[in-house]
Amino acid sequence: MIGLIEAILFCAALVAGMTWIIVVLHAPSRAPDSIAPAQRIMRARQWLYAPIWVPVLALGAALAPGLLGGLVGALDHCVEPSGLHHHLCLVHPPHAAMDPLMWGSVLGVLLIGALLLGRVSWRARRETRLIDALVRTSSPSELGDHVRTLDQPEPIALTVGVREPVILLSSGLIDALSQDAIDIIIAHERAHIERRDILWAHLDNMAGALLPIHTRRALIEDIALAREQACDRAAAREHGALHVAASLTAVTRLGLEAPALGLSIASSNLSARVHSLLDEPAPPNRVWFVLPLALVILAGAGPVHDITEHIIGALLH
Amino acid sequence: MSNILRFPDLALGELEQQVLETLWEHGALKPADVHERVGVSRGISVNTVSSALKRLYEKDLLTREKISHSYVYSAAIDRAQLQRQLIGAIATQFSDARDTSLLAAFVDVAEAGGEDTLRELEALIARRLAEGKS
Repeated sequence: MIGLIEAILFCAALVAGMTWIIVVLHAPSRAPDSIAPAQRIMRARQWLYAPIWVPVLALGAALAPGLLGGLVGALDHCVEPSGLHHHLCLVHPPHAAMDPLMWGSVLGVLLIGALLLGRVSWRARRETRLIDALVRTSSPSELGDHVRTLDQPEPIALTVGVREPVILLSSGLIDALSQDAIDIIIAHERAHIERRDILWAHLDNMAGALLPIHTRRALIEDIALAREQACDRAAAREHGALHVAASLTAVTRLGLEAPALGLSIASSNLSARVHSLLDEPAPPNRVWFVLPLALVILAGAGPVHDITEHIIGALLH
Repeated sequence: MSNILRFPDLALGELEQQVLETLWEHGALKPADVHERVGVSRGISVNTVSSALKRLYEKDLLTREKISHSYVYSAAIDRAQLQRQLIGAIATQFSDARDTSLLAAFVDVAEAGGEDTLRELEALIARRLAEGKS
């Protein structure tokens, strides 16, 4: 069984490494605006999380023939059943090779991944501590559940927190805008809460930490814009697209007059958001989501399974 | 300890925050007075409250004056100033990390495209509103 674990871990490290290279070389910079926000987020996350989900899915598919063989009994997929041949197979598990090259590559991938994830987790913890302190300085508001106010003259509207999300609005924003505009902003921020966008931002950061900065930044910026557009549309269902667009420009106008301490943090693009609101939304297309999954499963059951066995064999014999 | 591994000074804990709130509300107080208002209900000692006061003083969030044999502490900044510093620290942390932030802002003025783009969009929205489309 140790031989099988060895082969599985090596296969996972191999596929993760290959996927990482493909993502770095081929990840799209930004999806066209014609694609609906939910679909653009899905597409960007498929690339962002690829070094995690591709090895898992490909490995699952690579083990499927052996698993099926084990369950059904009679179905023996192995052409060359031998303990010395390194099968990804539960029926014919290989002997443990304890090869330093195999274990070195596995441990190398795990160590690099753990270091990168540890670094981003620590940064997230620092930022969360600051955000918690900011929330504790805010005051309760009568504008609704989860809404609190900051005693600041600049226009600020934020959603923060994962377990107990809070919408923070500055007194300057509340004083400067009409009640309708404030209701629109709250509807937009509530959409962030319902969509669990802050939790997803944490997860996206973790997954992105495994990629070089230029690759992850393009993907995460695309997700950030698409999530803002999705929340704009959620607010538009209640208040109308034109009024949401007008609120966006009104808050931007206020922000240009009194910049909010460099707190324009979440990447977004006003022009793309306004045009997305005023244009007809694109119909969803599930093929984007299903096709890559199907390809990975097919690759896992076919070429990945065979190629991995051959690579292990070539390395050890 | 390297600066990267330290939590920022403004990342106040709950006790520190509560001590600061008390000083904002009541003005200058001795540790024993702060303990009476904060520590008793939390079941913590005067020493623990004194340590929190000292930490806040070291973070330049409090001033203190020795009167008789005891320090009297006052808040060095008000609530709005602390909020500004926290917002600045979050923004700095974000730009240092060159990563995405864990908060969602309604609009990003920096990405808005400037005055010309804003005027064009305002004119477009005004036209559509005049046409009665929504």
